[in-house]
Amino acid sequence: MDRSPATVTYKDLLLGKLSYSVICSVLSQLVLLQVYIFFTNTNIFHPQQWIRSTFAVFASVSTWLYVIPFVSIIFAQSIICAKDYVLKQEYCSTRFQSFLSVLSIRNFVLLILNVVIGATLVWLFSSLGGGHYQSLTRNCNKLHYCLNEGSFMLIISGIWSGLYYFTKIYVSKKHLSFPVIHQRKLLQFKAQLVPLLKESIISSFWPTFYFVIIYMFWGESLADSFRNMFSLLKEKDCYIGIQAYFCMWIFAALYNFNMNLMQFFFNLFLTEPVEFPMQHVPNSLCLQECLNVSEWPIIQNLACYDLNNLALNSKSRRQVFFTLSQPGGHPHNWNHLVENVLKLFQEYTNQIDKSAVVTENMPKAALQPQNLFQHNYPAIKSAIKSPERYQNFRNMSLMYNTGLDEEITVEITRVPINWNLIQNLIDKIKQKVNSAISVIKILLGINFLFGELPQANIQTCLANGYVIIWASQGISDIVCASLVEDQYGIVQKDLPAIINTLVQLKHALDKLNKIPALTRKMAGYNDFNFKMKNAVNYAVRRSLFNICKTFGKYLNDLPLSKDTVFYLQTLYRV
Amino acid sequence: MKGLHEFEVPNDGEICLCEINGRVHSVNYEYANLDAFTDALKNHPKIHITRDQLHLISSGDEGKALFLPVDVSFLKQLTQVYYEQGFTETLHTASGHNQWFIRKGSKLILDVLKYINKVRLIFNPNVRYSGPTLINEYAQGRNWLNSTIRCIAWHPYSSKVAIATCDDSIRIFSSECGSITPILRCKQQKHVTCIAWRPLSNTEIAVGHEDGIIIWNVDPNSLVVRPSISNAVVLKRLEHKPVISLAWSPRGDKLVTAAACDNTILVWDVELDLTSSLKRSGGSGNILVKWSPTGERLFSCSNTLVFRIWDCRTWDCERWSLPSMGRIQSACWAADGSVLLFAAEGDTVLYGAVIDCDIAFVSNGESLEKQACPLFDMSRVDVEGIPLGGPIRQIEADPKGRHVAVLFQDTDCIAVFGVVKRPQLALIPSSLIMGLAEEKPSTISFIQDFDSGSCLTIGWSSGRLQYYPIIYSDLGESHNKSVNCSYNSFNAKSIHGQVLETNVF
Repeated sequence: MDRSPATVTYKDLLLGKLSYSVICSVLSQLVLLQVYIFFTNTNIFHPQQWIRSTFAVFASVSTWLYVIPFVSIIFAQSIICAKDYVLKQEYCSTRFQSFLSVLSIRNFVLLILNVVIGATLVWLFSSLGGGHYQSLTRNCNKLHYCLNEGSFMLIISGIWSGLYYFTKIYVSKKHLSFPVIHQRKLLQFKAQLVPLLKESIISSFWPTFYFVIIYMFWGESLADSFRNMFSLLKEKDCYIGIQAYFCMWIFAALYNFNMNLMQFFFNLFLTEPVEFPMQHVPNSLCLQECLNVSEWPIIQNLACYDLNNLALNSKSRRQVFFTLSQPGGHPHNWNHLVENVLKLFQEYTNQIDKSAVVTENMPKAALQPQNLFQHNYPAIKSAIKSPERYQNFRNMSLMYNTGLDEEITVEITRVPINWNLIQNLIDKIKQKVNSAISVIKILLGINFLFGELPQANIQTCLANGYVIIWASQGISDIVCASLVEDQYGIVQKDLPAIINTLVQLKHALDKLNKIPALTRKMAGYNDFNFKMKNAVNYAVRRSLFNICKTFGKYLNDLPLSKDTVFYLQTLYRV
Repeated sequence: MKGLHEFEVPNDGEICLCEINGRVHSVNYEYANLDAFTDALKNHPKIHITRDQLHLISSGDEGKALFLPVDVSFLKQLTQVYYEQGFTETLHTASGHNQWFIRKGSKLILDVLKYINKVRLIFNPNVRYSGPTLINEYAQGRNWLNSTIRCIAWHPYSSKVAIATCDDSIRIFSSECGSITPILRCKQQKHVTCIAWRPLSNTEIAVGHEDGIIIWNVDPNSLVVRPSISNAVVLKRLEHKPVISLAWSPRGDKLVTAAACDNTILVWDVELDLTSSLKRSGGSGNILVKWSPTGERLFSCSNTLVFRIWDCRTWDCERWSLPSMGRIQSACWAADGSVLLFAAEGDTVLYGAVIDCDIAFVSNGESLEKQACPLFDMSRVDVEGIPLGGPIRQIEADPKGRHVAVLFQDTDCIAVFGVVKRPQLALIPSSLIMGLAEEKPSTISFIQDFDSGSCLTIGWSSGRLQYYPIIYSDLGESHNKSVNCSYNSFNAKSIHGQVLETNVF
C-alpha cells in the first residue's frame, strides 16, 4: 500500500503481486502437509513423541522426494492460472465461440495439471500419512504383489476431483472479487480460512458421492485392467471399508481447499489497493491513464479503486488535482483526470446502449424512435464542449473539437424513404426469404450455436461494473470536495460535462432495467448480473445525488440542458 | 461532577414544550400548542399511533381456552398439533402414546434431532439465540418488548420519518399533506431492532430484525400502501443474528451491522450481497455500531467491557475498556464527530472522550494513555417530588452534535444537554422533558434535517410522537446571509457546511 513508485510499469506492479501470490500458494501447500502429518501422527499419551515424529516425517529425505514434484506441479499450475486473473477475458458473443474458447491448448494443459495434482495429492498424503492405504501394492504371498484396492480407488478419486473441479468450478469462476473493506492481509486470511475450509468440505461431498456411484459400476473393470497392465494379483479379501470412503471425502476436501486457497491468494494480493502516482511521468504508471487501460482489467480496477479512496479519505492527494502546474498555471492533473473519467463513462454508456438495443430485438420500424431519441446525445455533447458556453470562464479546459458539426451531420444523414412500388415488392420478398431463413436457422439449431448471445455483451459490461462504481463515486466525491477545497475553481468548468455524462450513463443503465433477463430475480436470487446491475445503477444514482445535494443551490446556474435538470430534479426529489 | 439537581423543573402541571434562543418555554398540559411558539414544525407530520392501528400478530391460542378438550383419534390429534405447533411438538405428542413402537420411535427421532442440534451448536455457537428477551435487554429503546414505538429514524434530507412499531411493521410518515403512509411489513421481518435511512438516497431504508436485514426501497410516488417484498433486498447470514444495530457509511455505500450473538461485525456491500468481517477477540456479541458523522471513524461495542473505535481508512481499531462497570449501554458521537459520549449499563455517569482525528491514530503509546472523563452524574434524585435520573438507557445527539438527550431506564424524564467542547468538554444542563400523565418514554431521536436549530423527537408509551425543538432564531438569519454572500463566489470557504443542508430546485 505504501508504494511510492517513481517509475513503475504495469509489469513491475503485476509481477510483484503475482509472485507473492504464487509463493504463498506454494508455501501454503507445505504448511497444509505439515498440519496433515501432525494430525495423522496423533499420539495423545506421548505428546513429545507426537511432535518429534511429526518433524521426523516432515524432515526426512523421502518426504521431500515426494514433496518436490508435487510442489513443482502446483507452481506450474499457479503460474499458468496467474495469466487468467490478469489478462482480459475473451469476449465470446456466440455459444460456439465460448465452446471453442474452452477447448484451447492452455485449458487442456490446465486440465492435465489439475488431474495430476489431484492424483499426486492423494498419493502424497496417503503415503505420508501412513495407515492402510500407504502403498498402491501389497506383498500378498511373498512372491507376488497384489493391488491395494482401497489405495487404487483413492487415487482414482483424486483424478476425479481434479477433473470435477476443473470442469465445474475453475472454468466458470475466474473473476476476482474485491472485499468490501480492505483490512490487513493477515486479518483477511484469518477471517477467510475457516469459511474456506467449511466450504471445501461441504462442496466436496457431492462429487465424492457421484464418484462412489461411478466406481461401483466401473471400478471393478478399471482395477482389473490396471492389474493386468502391471501383472498384479487380486487380493483374496478385497474389501473396501467405510474408512476408505471417509478418506476419499477428506482428500477431495483437501484438494478443493488447496485450489480454493490458491484462488484466495490470487484474490488477496491482486486486489490489494495500490496508490498510483498522480503526476504524469514518462514510462511510468499514472493514475489518470490507468483509469482507461481496458486491456489490463486488474490495473483499471485498482486505479478506479484508488480514485475512490483518495476522493474519500485523502485530502492531500485530492489537493493535487486542485493545483495548477507551475509554469503556465494549467490544471493538467485535473484535465487529464476528467478527460479519462469521462471517456470511461462514455465508452461504457455506448457499450450498454449498443447491447440494450441488440437485446431489445425490436423490429426496424420500432427502432426509428430510438434513433430520434439518440439525437439528444450529440446535442448534450455540444452543450458541454462548445467553447462559447464558457466565455465567462477562464478557458482552462482542454480544447475539444466542437460537437456542433457532428450534430448537424447526424441530422442530415437521415435517409428519406422512397415510396417505390418495385422497391416495395423487393422488400417484401426479401422479408419473406429472411423469415424463412430464420425459421430454418432455428430448426437446425444454427441460431443456438452461432447466434449472438443476448446477454454476452451485457455480461462483459457488468463484469466490469466495479470500475464504474468506483469511478463515479470517486469523481463525485472529488467534485463535492472541490466546493471547499478547490481554490481556483478548476473543477467548476467541467461540472456540467461531468453531470451530463453521469446522467447519460444513468439513462443507459435505466435501459438495462427493461431487459427481462436482468429484471427478474433469478432462482435462488444468486445472480451476479442482476446484483451488479443494481450495484452500478445505485452507485451512479448516489453519485448524482451527492452532486445535487452539494451544489443544490447552484445547479440552475450551470449550463445544463432542460432534460438534464429535469432528470436531476426527479432523482433528487423522489 | 455536576448532578441532575442543576436542572430547573417546570412548574407543577406544566410541561416543557420547546427551547427558543436558550429559553425554555413550559406551559400547562391543556394549552400545549407548539405552533404558538414556532412555525418551524408546521409541516412535520403529527403522529400518534394508537393500539387500534397496530396489526398485532395473533398466535391463534386465544380461542382455545373457550373449548373443552374432546377425545379425537390419535392421527387427527397429531395432524392438529402438526398444523398448529409444528413438527417437533408433534413428536413430543407422539412420544406420549401408549403404543411401544410409536413411543420409542418418536423418542428416537427426538434424540437424533437433539444431537444434531448439539453438533450444530459446536460448529455455529451463534445459533443459540434465545429470543426477544435478549433483544429487550440490549436494545437502545426502553421496554422494547412492550412499547408501541420501538425505533424512530428521520430521513437525512427531508422531513420524513420511519417508525418501527411493536407489530413488526415500519410506518413512513412524511410532511406532505394528503400523502399516504406506507407500511413496510413482511413475513421475514420479525422483531425489528433498528432502522436507518440510507444516505445519498431518498428511497432506501435498512431494517434490522431478528434474522437479518431488509433493505426496503420505498418509492414515494407510488400509491401502494403495503409495498411487497419484491421491493426489498433481504440480507442474512446464518450465524449473524439477532441484528441489534446497524449503521450506514455517510456515503451510503457500506452498511455495518452488529448482532447480539455474533462477535463479528459485518460490513456489507448491500447490492452485491458481499460481506467483510471485522473481528477481534473479546465478547460473544456486539450491541451497538455508530458511524461518526464525518465518516472517518466507527464506534462498536461488544457485550463485555470492551469497546472499539475503528479508523475507516485502514480499518485498524483502537481498543478501549471499561473498568468493571459492565458493558456499554449507549453511546453517541457529538461535536461533529470529535467527541464520543457513552454510558455503561446500569451506570448513572455519562462519560465523554475527545477523539481527534490526528491524535487517535498517531502512536499506540499515546493512545493508551487516553482516558474518558466523567462528565455528568445522573444519579437518581427527587426534585420537587419528581424522580429524575438513574441508570442511562439511551443517548442521542443532534446531527451537528451540539445537543444531547438522555433517556433513563427507570424514570420518566428526558434530560437535554448542550455540549461544549472548549475550553474543556462539558455538558450544560438545558431542560427536562416530561410526558403527559402515565406516559413513559420509549425511544428518542433527533430530526436529521432541521434548519432552524435542532429538534428532538420522543416516542412515548402511548404511541404519541412529541417534538421538542431547540431553536435559534439568529441561526436562521445568519444561515440565509451566508448563503447570499456566497452566491457570487462559487468556492467561498465561508459557506462550507452550511450549503450542504438545503436545496433550491
